[in-house]
Amino acid sequence: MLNKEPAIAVTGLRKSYGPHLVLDGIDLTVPQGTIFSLLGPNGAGKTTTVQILSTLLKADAGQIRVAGHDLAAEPDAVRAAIGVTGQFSAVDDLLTGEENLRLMADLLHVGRGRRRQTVHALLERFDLADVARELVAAYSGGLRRRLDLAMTMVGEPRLIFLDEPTAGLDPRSRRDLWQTVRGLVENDGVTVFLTTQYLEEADQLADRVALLSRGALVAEGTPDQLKRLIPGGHISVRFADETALTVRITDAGVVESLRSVLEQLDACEAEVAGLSVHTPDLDDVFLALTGDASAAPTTAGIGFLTSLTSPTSPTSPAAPTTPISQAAPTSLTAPTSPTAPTSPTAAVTTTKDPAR
Amino acid sequence: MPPTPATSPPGILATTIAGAAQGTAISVAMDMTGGIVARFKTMAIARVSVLTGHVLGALVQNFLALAAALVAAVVIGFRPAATVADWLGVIGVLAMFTFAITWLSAALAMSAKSVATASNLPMPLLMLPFLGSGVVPTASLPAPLRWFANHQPFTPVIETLRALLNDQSVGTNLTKAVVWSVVIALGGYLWARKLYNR
Repeated sequence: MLNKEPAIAVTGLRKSYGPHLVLDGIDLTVPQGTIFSLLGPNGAGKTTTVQILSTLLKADAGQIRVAGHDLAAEPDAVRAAIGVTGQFSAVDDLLTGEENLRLMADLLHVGRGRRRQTVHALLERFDLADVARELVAAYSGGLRRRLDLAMTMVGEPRLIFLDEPTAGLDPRSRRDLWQTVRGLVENDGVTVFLTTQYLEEADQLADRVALLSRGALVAEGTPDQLKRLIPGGHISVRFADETALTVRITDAGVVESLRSVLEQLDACEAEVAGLSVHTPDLDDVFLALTGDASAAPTTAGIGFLTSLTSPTSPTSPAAPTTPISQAAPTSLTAPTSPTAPTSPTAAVTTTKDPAR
Repeated sequence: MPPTPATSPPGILATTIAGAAQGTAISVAMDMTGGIVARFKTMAIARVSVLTGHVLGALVQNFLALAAALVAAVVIGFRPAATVADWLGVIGVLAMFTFAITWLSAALAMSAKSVATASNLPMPLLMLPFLGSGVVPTASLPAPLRWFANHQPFTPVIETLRALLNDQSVGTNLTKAVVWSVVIALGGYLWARKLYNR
C-alpha cells in the first residue's frame, strides 16, 4: 500500500434493496492511521456501508478503493488487508477464547511456531489470559467484544471496520474498548472505520466524523468543526415547581450569558432547584442536521408560551416567569434569525420536560 | 440354508440419512445467522470452505448414526449375508448418498431465512423411504404411488443396500443410485455455493 493513498476512497456509492434506496451517492475519504466515524440513527445505512466496504455486499454504483485496491476488481486483496468486527460478535460459542484465536490463526495459515506466540500475545494484550481456557458461551458482553477484536487482529489488518462495537456494553466496558481502539491506532498504526450511534463515542475516538442520515452524508469534519455548526449552547435552569428554563448561549460567550441569567434570576428571586451549562455536543449537531429536531433545544422556544399559560405555572410561587416573560418576543424570533440579537441571552425558552 | 432376506434395515438406514439431514440444516443455518460466517466472508480464505466443513462433519456424524442403527438391527436379530466386498459396497453407497443428501440440506438451509425454517425444509426427505421401497416392495403399491416410488432416488439406494446386505446381484439399481447421488450432490453443491456467495 502506498503511504500517501488513503485507506478508503469512495465516490458516488449507491445501494438499494429493491425499490428501497439505502445509500444515495456517498463520498468518503479516510486517510491512513486515523479513526473515521460514521454516525447515524438506526436505519441510516451505516451497516450497509460497512458491509459494502468489507466486501460482504456489492455496491450498485460507485468507485471504491479500500486499502489501495479496487474493491470490485480485487476483493481478495482487500480482504487480506482488512479486519471486521461486526455488530453481532463473530465468535464461536462452542470453543474457548484461545481456541477461537487458534482457529483464526489456522485459517490465515499462520505457522505452528508463530501461532502460539501470536495467540499468547493477543490474549495478554486484550486482557483475556485469565479466561483463555473458558468456553466463549460463558463470556460477558465486554469479554466477547474484546475476543472479537483480538480475533480480528490475528491477521494483522491495516484497516479495521468496527460496526457499532460498543452497542449493549456497560459504561466501563465501553471505556475499556475505547482505550483498546486508541491503542490499535497509536501502537499499530492501523486505520479504523467506526460506525456508532453514540455521539460521545465518535467525539472520544474519531479524528473525523461523518453524519449519515437517510442514506446521504449531511455533514463531515472533525468533531470540533461539526460542533461549530451549531452556535452557542444552552443553560438549563430548573425551578422548585418543576418548571424549567432553557436559555441559549450566544456569541457573547458562556460567562456573559450565565451572568445575565443569574442576574435575572436574582432579580425575580426565583427558587432555583438546579442549573446546568450545556455546551454544544455532537448530539445537538446530529439532531439539528438529521432533521429530527423535535428534541433539540433550539426549537424549544415554542414551548415557552405554553408553559406561561399552562395551569401549573401561574399558581406556583415561581416568580421568574413574570420578568423573563418580557423577553419572550426575543425568544420567539430567535430560532428564525439566530444572528440578529446582540443581548447575551438571545432566546429565553422554558419547557416542561422533566427529562432534560 | 440361505439366510432370511433382510427387508427393513436398508429402509431404516435410508431414513437415518434423511433424518440426519435436518441436523445438518440446523447447524448450517445457525452458522449463517450468526456473526462468524460474516467474519469468514471478509477474510481471504476459500469461499465455501465453511460449507465443505459442515458437509464433512455431517458425514462423520451420519456414519456414527448408521453404525448405531446397524448394531441395533443385529442385536434384534438381523443376520446380514454380506461378504467383505458387499460390506465395502454398503459403506460406499451409504457414503455417496449421505454426501449428496448433506449438500442438498446445506443448500436448503442456506435458502432459509431462519433456523426454524431451515429445520423444516429437509422434512419431506423423511417421507421418501416410505414412499419408496423402504417399508414395502414397490410392486405392492397402488399404481400412481408405484410409479413415483420407482422414479425417486431413495428406492434404488435402498434396493442396492438390500441386495448387498443379502449378497445378491445389485442389477441396475447401483447405476441408478450413483446417478441420483451425483445429480443431487452436484445440484446441492452448486445451489449452496450460489446462495453462499450471494
